[in-house]
Amino acid sequence: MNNLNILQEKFNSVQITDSNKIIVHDNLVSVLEFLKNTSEFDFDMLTTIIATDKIERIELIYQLYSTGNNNTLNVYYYAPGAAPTVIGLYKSAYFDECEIYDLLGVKFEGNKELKRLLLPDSWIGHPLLKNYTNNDERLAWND
Amino acid sequence: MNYLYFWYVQLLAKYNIPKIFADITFPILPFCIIAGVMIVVVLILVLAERKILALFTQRKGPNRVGYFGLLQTVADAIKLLCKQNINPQGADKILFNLAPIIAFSPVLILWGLIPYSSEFEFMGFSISILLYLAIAAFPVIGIILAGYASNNKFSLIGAVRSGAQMITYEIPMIFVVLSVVALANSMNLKDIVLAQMNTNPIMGWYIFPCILGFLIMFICVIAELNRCPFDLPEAESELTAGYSTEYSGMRFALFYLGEYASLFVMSVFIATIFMGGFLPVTQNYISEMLFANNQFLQVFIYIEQVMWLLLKSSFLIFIIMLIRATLPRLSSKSLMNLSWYCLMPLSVINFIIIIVFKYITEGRM
Amino acid sequence: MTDIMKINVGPQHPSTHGVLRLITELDGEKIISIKPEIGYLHRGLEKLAESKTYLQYLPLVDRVDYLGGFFTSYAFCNAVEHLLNIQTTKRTEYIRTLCMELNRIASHLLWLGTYMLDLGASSPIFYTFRERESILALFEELTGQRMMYNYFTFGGVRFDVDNNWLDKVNDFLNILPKAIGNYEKIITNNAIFIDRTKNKGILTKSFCSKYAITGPNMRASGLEIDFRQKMPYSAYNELGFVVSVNNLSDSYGRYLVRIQEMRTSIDLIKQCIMFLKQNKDNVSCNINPIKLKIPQGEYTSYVESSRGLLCCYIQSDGSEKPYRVKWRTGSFYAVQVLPELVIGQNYNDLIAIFGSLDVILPEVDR
Repeated sequence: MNNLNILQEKFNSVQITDSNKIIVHDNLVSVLEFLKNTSEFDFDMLTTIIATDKIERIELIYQLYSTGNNNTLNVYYYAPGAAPTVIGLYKSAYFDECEIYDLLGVKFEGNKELKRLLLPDSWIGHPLLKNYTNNDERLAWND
Repeated sequence: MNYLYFWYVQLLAKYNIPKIFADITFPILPFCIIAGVMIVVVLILVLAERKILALFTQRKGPNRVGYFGLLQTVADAIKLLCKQNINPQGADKILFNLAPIIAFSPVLILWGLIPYSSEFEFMGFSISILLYLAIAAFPVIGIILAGYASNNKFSLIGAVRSGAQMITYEIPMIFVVLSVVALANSMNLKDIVLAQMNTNPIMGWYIFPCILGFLIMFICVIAELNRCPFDLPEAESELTAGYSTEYSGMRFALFYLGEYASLFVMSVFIATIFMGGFLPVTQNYISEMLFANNQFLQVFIYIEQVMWLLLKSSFLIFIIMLIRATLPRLSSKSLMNLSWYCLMPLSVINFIIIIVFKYITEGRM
Repeated sequence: MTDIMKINVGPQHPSTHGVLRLITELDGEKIISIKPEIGYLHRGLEKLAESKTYLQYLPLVDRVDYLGGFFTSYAFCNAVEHLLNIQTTKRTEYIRTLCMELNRIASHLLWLGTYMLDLGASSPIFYTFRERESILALFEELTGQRMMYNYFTFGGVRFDVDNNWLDKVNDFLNILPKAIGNYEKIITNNAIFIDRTKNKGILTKSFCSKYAITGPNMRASGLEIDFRQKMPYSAYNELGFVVSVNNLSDSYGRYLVRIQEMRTSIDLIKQCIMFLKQNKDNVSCNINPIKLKIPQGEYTSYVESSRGLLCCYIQSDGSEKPYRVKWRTGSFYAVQVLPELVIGQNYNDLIAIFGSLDVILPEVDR
């Protein structure tokens, strides 16, 4: 996408690596807000948030889709342990953020109702972390 | 009735049983017959419904127990009787146990009020139609009690819906019955049937002057029976099983029995007041041709009258089952709207039509 | 003013299509708050991927959405093929398209039957299952399985189709439009059905994008977005079809879109059969799936499944096991939008609206 340069001009720290891949280091919410509300981009749908444990940090990929322009954009954000919430922009992010909190332990600042979504509330640990070992004694199938 | 009474006395006299015994047992006898016949009828109805629904949905239906699956419902009934009765935690035990009985027993009385043939009428009150309507409204109390006592929210919602539905649909039904009473000049069910006699066996039926009333009545009866498309009280997709969610075993069987017994008796009631009851569809009784010289001719005629009534009501039951196989469930809002905004005014209009009709045909009010 | 009644719909409830729990608060019969609780069917498919090789993971992929096994296996295979940078033959892609479209019909048929059951009509499910049964029999003949097919492999499909099977599919397609017409006869103009679905559960365009609703639910709101057309994959760019869309935004619109989609699928399958009867390509690539090592990289495949956009994201670190697999499914987001649709409605309409979203729970919990 050529017009990603507009984004670069507005946010200096944004790194454009590919035609549909950008890396955001800070101001995630304002970048997404800009992408959503600017008519050139019009990314009005957040299809999903993908979180991957990269050992030293957690990589969050916000996959955006524009229903008007039929474009996709992957916004990369590296969260050490917490990330800002984007519920204000995309309501669909609530379940995604809860799931990521549940499985990878990323805290989304500003998401007041963050809770374990798929696992029981009493679950110990965050399974999708690479260093996760299931040492919950309550689970009989542990060994 | 007298004929049967003398026959019964003579039968007992043969075995040297005193007449006083016959006098005492004769009034009780019909209810024993009803209770027995009812079980058989319900078993047949349940099987028939399953077979008919299977037919509509291109299945075979029950076909393993007995010949053509005839014993399937018997097997089901035995299974239900053998099941454990569970008292849910927090339930009101007395009311919980009482509810199925209250829901079921009034139906027994309803069966006794119907004139099955010109003599064979267990309870021939002069206002039997009024009594019928009063008692027909009774089972809903059992349903509300069941919902209240089960300590289950699904049951409670189902019971409340059932009560609301009952009240809503009772009123247009009574208006329609009123117009039938006006036509027949009588509140006795047997008199209403006999008033439908005509030179042409079908033209005398009240369904013709009162076709609007018949349709209203039919809809109201389906609604009162809580059958599809008015099965909101037991809407399984939202309320699991409605008021009967917590019931099991014999108590559930009583609800089930009551439901089908009232399905039958309600269809018989419609057939009685609108379709000439036990009167034959043919010009004369078929028995008169077949057994003209038989000494038991009168008995054969009575049996034939019962058969005619059964035939007419089974037609109605078939239609009710057909509707069940076809229609989705109404929403509770349109359920209320249908009765208050549509059936209510129509039943009043129907009443006015009947009065005008009566004035034209008979020249008096 | 009545007391507020808190009622737990599910997880064991006849019509939540699996194990969904809805914590509902009722004022009388009016819903004042509803909270979907998911996770009762969570099988950890994303975690399982980390400890299995690509080939070992392949059979599990069908379990993501048990009613649309072909979609999920296609999404996974497509992502793997893209990372390996291998080109599949045209015949492979046509077979895959055919299977996916048949699967779409089967899935929509099941939805139609269960939705009518939710609305209280008991018959249509038998009619739709009759046709679905024929599709499952065709799948069984082709793949050996009725639900968990495990048919697509990396770079191809497991068995080639023969003309005999294609003829059987064709025969089935000839009776299907009539069957669909029959469903429409008892459903589309039914006054009670219209009463229960028209203007119920309005899902506006802005809701769709805000809540990431995709698939037929979105197309019923007037957004003409079909990823088969917008981002063509498999053989779709060579096939002609019209995206079914309408502006009703309600449950009735969603019903109409699905009915229309079944008809579209019939057209698509017929085109595939035409191609497959003439084409005699190979249906596999020369790769050894057992020793498969995928170069470092990441890819997201976009598939239009019967329940909306299905994404499979694979991140590979160069080893024989995927580093991260993420499933994005349509139902996950459809569950989330439910409170917006039902609050303020009668309890009676809860299941009627929820059913129209076509949510299946294995896809939500994964």
